[in-house]
Amino acid sequence: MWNKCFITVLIIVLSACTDKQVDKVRIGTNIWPGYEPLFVVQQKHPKFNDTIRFVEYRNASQVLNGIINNSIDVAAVTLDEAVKIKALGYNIEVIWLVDESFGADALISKHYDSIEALEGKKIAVETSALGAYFFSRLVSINNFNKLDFKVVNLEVNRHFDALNSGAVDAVLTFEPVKSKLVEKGAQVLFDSKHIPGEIIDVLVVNNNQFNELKEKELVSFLSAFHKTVTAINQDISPYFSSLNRRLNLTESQFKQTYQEVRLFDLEANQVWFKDMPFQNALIERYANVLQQEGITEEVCQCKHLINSKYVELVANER
Amino acid sequence: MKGKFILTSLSIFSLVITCSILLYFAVIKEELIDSIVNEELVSLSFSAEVLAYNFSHEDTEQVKNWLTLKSELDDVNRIMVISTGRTVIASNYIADEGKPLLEVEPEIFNFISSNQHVELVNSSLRLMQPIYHLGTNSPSHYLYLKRNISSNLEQLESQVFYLSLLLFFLFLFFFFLYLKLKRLQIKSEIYALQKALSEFNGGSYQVRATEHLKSDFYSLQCSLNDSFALNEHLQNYLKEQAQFADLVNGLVTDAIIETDQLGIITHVNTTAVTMFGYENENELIGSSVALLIPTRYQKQHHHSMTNRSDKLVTGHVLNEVRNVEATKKNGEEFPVEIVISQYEVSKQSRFVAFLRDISSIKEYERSIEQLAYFDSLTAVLNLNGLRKHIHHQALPLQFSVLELSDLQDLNDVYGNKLGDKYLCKFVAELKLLHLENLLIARIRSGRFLVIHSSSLKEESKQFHKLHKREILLNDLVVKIRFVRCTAKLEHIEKLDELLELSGLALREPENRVVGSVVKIDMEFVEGLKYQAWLKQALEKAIEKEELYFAYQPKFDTQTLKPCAAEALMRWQCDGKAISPGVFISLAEKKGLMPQLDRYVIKTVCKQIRRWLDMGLHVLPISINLSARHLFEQDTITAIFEHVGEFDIPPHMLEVEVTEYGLIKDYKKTAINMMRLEKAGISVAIDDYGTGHANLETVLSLPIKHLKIDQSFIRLGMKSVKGQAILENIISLAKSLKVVTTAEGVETKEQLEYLKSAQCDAIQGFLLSKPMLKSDFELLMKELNN
Repeated sequence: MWNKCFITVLIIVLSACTDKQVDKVRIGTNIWPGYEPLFVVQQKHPKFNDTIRFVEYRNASQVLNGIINNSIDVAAVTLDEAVKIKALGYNIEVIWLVDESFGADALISKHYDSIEALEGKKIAVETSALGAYFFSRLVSINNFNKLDFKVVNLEVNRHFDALNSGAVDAVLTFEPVKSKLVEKGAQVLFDSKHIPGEIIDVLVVNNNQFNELKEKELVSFLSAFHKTVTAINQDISPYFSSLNRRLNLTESQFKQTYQEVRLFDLEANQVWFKDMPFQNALIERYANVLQQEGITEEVCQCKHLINSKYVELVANER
Repeated sequence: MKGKFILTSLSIFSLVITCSILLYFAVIKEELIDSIVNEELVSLSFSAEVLAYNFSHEDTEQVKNWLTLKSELDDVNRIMVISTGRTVIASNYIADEGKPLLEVEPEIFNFISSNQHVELVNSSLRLMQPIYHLGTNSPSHYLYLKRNISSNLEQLESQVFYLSLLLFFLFLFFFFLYLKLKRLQIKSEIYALQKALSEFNGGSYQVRATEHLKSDFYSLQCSLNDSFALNEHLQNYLKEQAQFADLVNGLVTDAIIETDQLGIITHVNTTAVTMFGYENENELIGSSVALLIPTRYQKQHHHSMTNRSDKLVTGHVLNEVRNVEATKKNGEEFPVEIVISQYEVSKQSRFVAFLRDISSIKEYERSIEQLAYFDSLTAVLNLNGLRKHIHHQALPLQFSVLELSDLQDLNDVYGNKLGDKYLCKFVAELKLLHLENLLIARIRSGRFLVIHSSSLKEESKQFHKLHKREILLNDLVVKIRFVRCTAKLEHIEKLDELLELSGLALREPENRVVGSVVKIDMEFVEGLKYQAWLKQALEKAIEKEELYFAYQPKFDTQTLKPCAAEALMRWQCDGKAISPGVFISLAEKKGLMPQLDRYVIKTVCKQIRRWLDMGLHVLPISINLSARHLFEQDTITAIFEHVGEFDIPPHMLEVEVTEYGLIKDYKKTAINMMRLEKAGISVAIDDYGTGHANLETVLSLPIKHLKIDQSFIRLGMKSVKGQAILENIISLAKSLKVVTTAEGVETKEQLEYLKSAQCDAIQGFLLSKPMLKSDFELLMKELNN
């Protein structure tokens, strides 16, 4: 009796000597118009300061590293990035569809007016993230070989300076960099309107350090997020200031940008999450491209990548 | 005990925690904060150098990247790079970048402007590190970091707490370990003690607990060893006692049976099992002791068992030697001697019975009793048995002593076996007597005592029938013949006296006649008493020579002159003349005859001498001596001795042999008579005709004188046949030159007839009665003249 009690207490003591658990849900994002409503939610609802902590990354590669390093619990990434992470063996699940890029991702050049003109030229691409897939699709659609271009891996936050300084001839970038470069005289040679439905931004959960408490907090946050998105979709004007805090776009740029990004509300999510064949086809495409590009070596075990639980929970909360 | 222990533990726990907390707040917390600050300052300093490098290369994006990665840390609340112009260059909130500091964080504006680099407010650590231009001391930017160290502090606090807890539990662990080891040690010692106890209880009485001076149980070990030693001693004692008990149990000839208070047998010894005929003790143990008690006593036994508290019931049972009956397994009953004792075990009464089979003793007693009280030949009572049995009879009783007359003859002729058979048959006949309460005892070889309660008349009738009844012994028909004494027994104490009197009566020849019955009564007893008295008087008279003589002359038939005289003894006792027939007979009976004969011889010889000395013409004096004693050597010697002593002429003394019929050995008698005759002393046969010897036999003896009894004289006077016989006697005597004297001549006719018959001498009242000495002396004087 005494021995058992003693051992139990000792185990509790020793386990308590480890680091204290982080209670806040850590959400990592890079700068992207589709993700800005997340920050708007926190601004609108200060209560989430106690439960949600944003880690503001400069580019998508940092976000991916954040997941890999377990620095964040939830990441805002493109779906192809999610497939890549999953293919690399990390325990993540896609829980929410944030937006779809409909022109907000684009190939931009300052001095060349066509893709063909860029043959043999230096193109900056964030190959560690969406850039790889997007570039692959660009080359494929336009019937080029990727070896036809000199691809330079460059994070998105360096794209503006790289293209302005002439360090590269073109950049495969996205908003708000795209608008800022266009403002400087660059022109769009190819954008995501050419691959509709393929560049989708999602929220993934890093199951490594997730728990029920965080799940509850996240569901609460998503519920508020869905309401904010619904409101934005109805009328974006009141949200100009709040959505633009990090984008730093002009009003025209802002309007243009948000026309090229479709924000998904709850209903859109419910529809998308129910369309399993579409999901599977899309995931398979990403996986094939990533494998062909040598980004992933093994076939993605993506059967359990999509988890509709959160969508259902949010729907139930409503 | 447990509550006290928990209280103590909680007290220690509280003390440790309190001490830890106090220590934490007093020392550790400050130390930790200093440590964190220093660490952060060093880190920031290093970061500032890196950032300075980036700034020198105008790589602001790299600065932003670094800041972003720094902001990943959970405890980083705010991180900014601020230009010297107080514009936010980089921030963890991207939206703040490019804005004036006052707009973004006005509260840190002064902090950055001051020289203070560190500020701690409510667990928020604010740090400011200038970023210098490379190679200068002038800051180009400021690195601002706001960190929440509460988690560090909480972690530290929890670590301190848990460390304290760990210490406490370590303390508890070692405390319990100590207790455990102590318990093991105590268990080991207790086990050793228990083992020693078990071994001891198992019979190893030499075992001892090891004594350790430092042990907690030292005193217990010592006490236990003392107890062991004492118990060993007791066990040895008990063992010896048990061995002794076993030895006794095995050797003792008594059966030992132990029962509980309900009478259930709890223990028996081997002797008991054997005595009661059982195979083994298990047959008895657990059974009721009533099993061993005859059915008729079981009710009484049950009563005794159920009323043990009643001292009246148990008083005569416990610790008393009693003879009772017991029952064997086969139902056979046998006598036992029993002693029952009671003792208590655990307040329960136990009874122990010691039994001895006294069958053999009883048998022996029976045989002794048989020997003591019964005649071995005829199986009737002996005298002792009669004495015992007669006590049960109601008095008065009729008493008869029977003496078989022919037993001696049968024994002599046909042997003792036939005599024994005769006795048995006689007893069988006695048993058939129709007499009430008949008791028969054999008191001597052929003498029986018969006692009964019937009347004297009935007794006479029964014995009369019995007398001369014929019984068949083998092929020999024998008539029962006996003499009998009869008496009335009125007191038991008189039995021996009556027996003695009967014996006396049966000794009397006159009573030994077949068919005679002697009544033993007062008269008989008086007669005996008188004879006893008379005997004493006679002895005294002989001693004092009070017996005197009368002399009756014998006369010559032809001349009628005295020719001799017969000395006749006379006795005056207390002035009363006692008849010679009485005292001679008494002397015969009482064995005084030799004494009396010597007295006669001496006195007569002495008298003759006196008369001779007086010068008288002394007639030959005859003395009477019985044939029974005459020819004893002492008598002959006495005659010769006194004749010689008084020097008297032998022819002056004549010996008249009375009771000639008792002569059996004629040859020897003749030799003795010859010796007297040769000495000159003549011998006469007295009272011829009273005995049964024929004349020729008598006359063949060397005698010179035959005195014919008066009865022959009378017979001769009455009939021709008698006359012929008398004349024949006289004639034959004459032919043998034997002088004849006729006795009891009382008439002249008798005198005349004897004359004619040529009888030599006569004696009788006709001529002279027995004369006193003085008268006889006068007669002799006349003869002298």
